[in-house]
Amino acid sequence: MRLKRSLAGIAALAVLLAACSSGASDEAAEETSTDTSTEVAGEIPATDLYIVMAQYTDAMQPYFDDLAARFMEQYPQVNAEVEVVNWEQLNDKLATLVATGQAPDIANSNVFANFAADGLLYPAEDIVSPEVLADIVPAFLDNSKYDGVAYAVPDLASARAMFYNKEIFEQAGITTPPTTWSELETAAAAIKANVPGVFPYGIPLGPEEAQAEFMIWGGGNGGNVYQDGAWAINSAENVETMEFLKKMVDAGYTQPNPATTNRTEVFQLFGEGKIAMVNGSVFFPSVLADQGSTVEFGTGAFPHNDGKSSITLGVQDYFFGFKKEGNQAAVKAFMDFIYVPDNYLGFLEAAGGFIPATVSAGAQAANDPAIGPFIDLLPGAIFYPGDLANWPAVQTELQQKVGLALNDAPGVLGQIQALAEQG
Amino acid sequence: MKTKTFFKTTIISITAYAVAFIFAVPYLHMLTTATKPDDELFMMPATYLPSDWQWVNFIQTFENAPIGIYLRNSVIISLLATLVVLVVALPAAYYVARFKFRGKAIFLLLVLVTQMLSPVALVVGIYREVVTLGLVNTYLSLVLVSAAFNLAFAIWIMAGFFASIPSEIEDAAFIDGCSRFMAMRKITIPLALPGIATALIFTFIAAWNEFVIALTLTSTVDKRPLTVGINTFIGQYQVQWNYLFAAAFISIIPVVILFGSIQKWLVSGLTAGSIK
Amino acid sequence: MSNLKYRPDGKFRTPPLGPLPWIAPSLILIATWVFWPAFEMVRTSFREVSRSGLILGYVGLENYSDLIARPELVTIFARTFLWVGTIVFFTAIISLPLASLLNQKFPGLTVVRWFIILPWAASVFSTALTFRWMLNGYYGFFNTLLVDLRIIDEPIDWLGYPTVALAWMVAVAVFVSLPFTSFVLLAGLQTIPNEVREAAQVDGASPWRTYWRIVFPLLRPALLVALVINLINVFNNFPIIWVMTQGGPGNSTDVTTTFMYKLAFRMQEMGQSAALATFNFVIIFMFILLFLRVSGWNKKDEN
Repeated sequence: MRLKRSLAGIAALAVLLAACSSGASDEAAEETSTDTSTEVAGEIPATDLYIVMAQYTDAMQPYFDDLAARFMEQYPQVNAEVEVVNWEQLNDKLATLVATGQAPDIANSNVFANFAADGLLYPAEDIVSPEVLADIVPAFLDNSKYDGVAYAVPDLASARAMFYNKEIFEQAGITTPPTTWSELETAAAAIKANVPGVFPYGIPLGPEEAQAEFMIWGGGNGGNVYQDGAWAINSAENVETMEFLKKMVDAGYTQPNPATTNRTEVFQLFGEGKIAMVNGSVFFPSVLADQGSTVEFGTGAFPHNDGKSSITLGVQDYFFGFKKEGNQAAVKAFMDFIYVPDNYLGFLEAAGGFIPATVSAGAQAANDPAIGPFIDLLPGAIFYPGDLANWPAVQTELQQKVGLALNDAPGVLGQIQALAEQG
Repeated sequence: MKTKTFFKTTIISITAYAVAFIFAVPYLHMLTTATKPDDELFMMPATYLPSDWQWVNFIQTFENAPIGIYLRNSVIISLLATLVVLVVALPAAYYVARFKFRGKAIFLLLVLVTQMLSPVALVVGIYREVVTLGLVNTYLSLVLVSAAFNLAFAIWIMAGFFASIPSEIEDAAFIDGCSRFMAMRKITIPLALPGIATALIFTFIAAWNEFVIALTLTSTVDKRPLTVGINTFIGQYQVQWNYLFAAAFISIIPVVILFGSIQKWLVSGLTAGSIK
Repeated sequence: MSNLKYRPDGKFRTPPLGPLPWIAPSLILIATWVFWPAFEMVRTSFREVSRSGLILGYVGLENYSDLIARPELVTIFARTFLWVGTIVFFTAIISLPLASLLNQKFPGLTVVRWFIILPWAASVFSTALTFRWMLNGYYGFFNTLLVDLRIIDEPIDWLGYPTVALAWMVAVAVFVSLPFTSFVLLAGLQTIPNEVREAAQVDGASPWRTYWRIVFPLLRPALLVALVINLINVFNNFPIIWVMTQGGPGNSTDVTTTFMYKLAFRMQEMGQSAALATFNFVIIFMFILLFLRVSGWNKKDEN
C-alpha cells in the first residue's frame, strides 16, 4: 500500500527529477563523491555505524538497505546498519537509546535541540562536507541551529496549505476559496446549508498533530508559539484564535469533537468527500492517492483573520550525528553519501513528495506542479521553534492539551505557557 | 422431573451460547475486518460483513510484512521462556510446597512483589541492564525478561498443586528405597502434570503476548516478535486495519489452540492454586 | 535415607543442603530481571535526568516534589483508584455467575469454555485495538448496530468524550479480566463436593439461599486469589488506555501507568516518571499487604 503510494503518487516527480539529475550538476557531484571516497577511504577506521531513520513510508527500509549496501561496498571497513522506526515510536526510541548510553551514530527525526543542548551532537560542519552544507537551503539550515551553531542537517521539509473539495464547493455555490475568516464562515454556512452530510472544515486537535493545527490557525491571526525571544502560547492572538475555532465548532462547521479527532481521521474523511476543507501538507495528495480517493481537490492559502496576513507552516526534519569516539569520519562519509544527488533523490522519492532541503534538488522540484506551489509559499512560512531544547516537551503538551483550549482558551493556553516558561 | 431437567438444560445451554457469542464478538469483528476489501473499511455506516470476503488479505499480510519471521521469533522466544520457567520454577515450587524453612515467607513475598512492578515502569531499567550485559537485540534478553515476569505465577500454581498431593505418597516411595529426586520424578511430577502444564501454558501465552518490553529491546526485523511486528501496520497517515487485524488474528490462533488443548487440565491446574 | 528424619507431622526435615539449591535459580532470575531494573528505577527517581536522557547527578527529593506540584496529579490518582476499583468490582460480580454457568453440564460445554478463553488468549493490545475500531465514531460497526437497533439516532464518537471513553475502557478491562477470574472461580467451585449442595437442598433451601449460604463462603478463598491477581494486573495495566485514548484529551483519561509513560517518553521527565513509578509501587505494595493481612492469607499459610 505504502509502496504503491510512493510509486504512484510520486512517479511523475521521480521521472522528472531523474531526468534533470542526469544533467551537469549530477556529473559534478559524482566527481566530488568519487574524489572524497578515494581521498577519505584510507582514513576511515573500521567502524560500526548504527543508524536510526524515520519511516516516512514503507519504502524507506528497502531504500536504506540498498544505500547501506552500496556504501559498504565503497567503504568495506565500515559496517552500517540502518533501523527504520515508525513515527509513533521514533522519539521514544531515541530517548531510550540515549538514556541508556546506546545513542545511534546517525539519527533522523523532527527534533534535535534536546540532544544538542546536552552536548551529544557533532556540529553540522563536522558531519557533512562544505559542499553539501553550502547546498542546503539557508532558511532550513537556520532552523537547525542551537545556540547559534547548526547541529543538524535538514533532510527534507514540508509546507502546508488549505485543501478543498471542488465538487462540494460547486454544490454550495462557492466560486473562490475563502481567504479570510469571515469568508470562511460564509463558505462554511453555505456548505452546511446546501451539502448535507458534509463537515465544512476538518480541524484535528487530537494528540497526533494538534501543535501544527494550532500554529496554522494562530499564525493566520498573527500569533505564534514563540515570538520575539519569548514563549507566546497564551498571547491575545492565540486566545482569540481558539475562541474563533470554538465558534466554528459550535456552529457545526467542523467535525464533532475536534479535541479528540486525529489528523489521520480527518484526512480519511476528506478523501471520502465528507469534509470540504482541511489543512494538508505537500504530501497530502499522495496520501489521498494511497487511500484510493477520487475526490477532486484544489489548494489555497490558509484563511487568515481580517486585517492579518496568511501564513504557511513550514516543517522540516533533520539528520544529526551523535559524538562517539572514532565514529566521526564514518558518520561524515555516510552523510555525504546520502547527499550524493542520485542517492538524495532516491531518498526524497522513498519519503514521498516532500520539499527537498538542498538548493539543487529544490530548483528542480520548483517546476513540479505538485510541489512548486508549496515552495512558493515558503517565504511566508512560520516554523516550529525547533532550536529550543524544551520544544519537544512543549510540543507534547500542546498535542495533549490544546484541544481542551476550545472550552477554556486563556486557562489551558496559560497552563501550557507556564510549562514552556519553566524551561 | 425429566421435562424439568430438559427445560433447565435448554435454558442453561441457550444462555451459555449467548455468552460465548458475546465473548467472540471482538474476535469475529477482527476476522471480518481482516477480510474486508480496502475500500470497504471506511464505509459509513460500517458494514457488518465484508461484501466480498478477501481471504487473500491474509496472504497479502505475509507479503506486506515479514510475518513469517515475526512468527518464528515469537515461537522461539515463548518456547525458551517456558523452558526457563520450567527449569527454574519447578524446584522452587516443589520445595516451597513440601518444606518449611527460614525465609520462606520472605521468598514468597519477593516472588509476589515481582507481580507488582509494571513493565512500563521498568522498561528503562531493563534496557540499561540489557546494554550493560551486552544483550541488546537478542532473543536471550527477551526470553529471560519474560521468564522472570511469569515466574511468580508459575510458582504459585505449581506449589499449590504439589501441596495438594499428599506427602504420604512420596513417603511410601522413600520407604521403597527411592531417592527424593526419583520420588519427585516418578510420582509427584506425573501427578502434578495438570498444574505444571497450566503454569507452562500461562508462561507461554504471557511471553507470546508481551509487547512493551519487546518493543524497546528489539531493533531489527529478525528478532522482533509478532506483537511488535503487528504494530508496523499503524502508519503515520493511515492505519491498514485489514492487514493489522489479519496479522492479529493469525497471532491468536496458536494460543487458542494451546489453551483449548489443556482445557481439561486448566481447571484442575487452577484448583490447587485457588484453594491454597 | 538415614539423614532424612521424620517430623511428627510426617513431613521430612529440610534436606541437608537447605533450600538454596531449590530456590536459588528463581531468586537469581527475579533478582537480575526484576529487582535490578526496579532498583535502577528507584535510583533514577532521586537523580536529575536531562531532557535527552543523560544522568546529571543526585537531586534528593526534587523529582518527587516536582511531581507532587503537578496540578493534574491528584485527579490522576483519584481516577486510578476509581478505575481499579470499578474494574475489580464488576469483574467479580460478573465472574461469579459466569463460573457457575461454566460449572453446569450442557451440550457444547467445551466449546463454550473455549470461547470464554478468547480474551485471555489474545493480547490485550490487539483486543483493545479491536474495540477502538469497533467504537470509532465514523466507521465503527458498533454505531451501525445501535442505529439499526434504533437505540441511537446517529453515530456517536464513543471514545471522544472522557467519561464515555472511560466507561468503555472499564468495560474492555472487565472483558479481558473475566476469563482468568471465572476460571479460578470455576476451579474453586469444583472443589465443593456435590453432597454439600445436595444436603442443603434436601433441607429445603432455595437454590439462591444454598448459593449464598453454602457455596459462596466456600468460594471465598478462590475469589480472594482471583481478586488480588486481578487488582495487581489492572493497577499495572497500560495497553488498554494507551491504545484506546492515549489518556486524552489532555489528561482526562490518564491513569498512573499511562501518565508515567508520558512523563518519561513524551514530556522528557525521566526522573519524575521514575518517582511516579516508585510511588505507584509503594501504593500497590502497601495495599496488597493490607489486603492479605485483613483476609488472613498469611495465617492460612502458616498452618
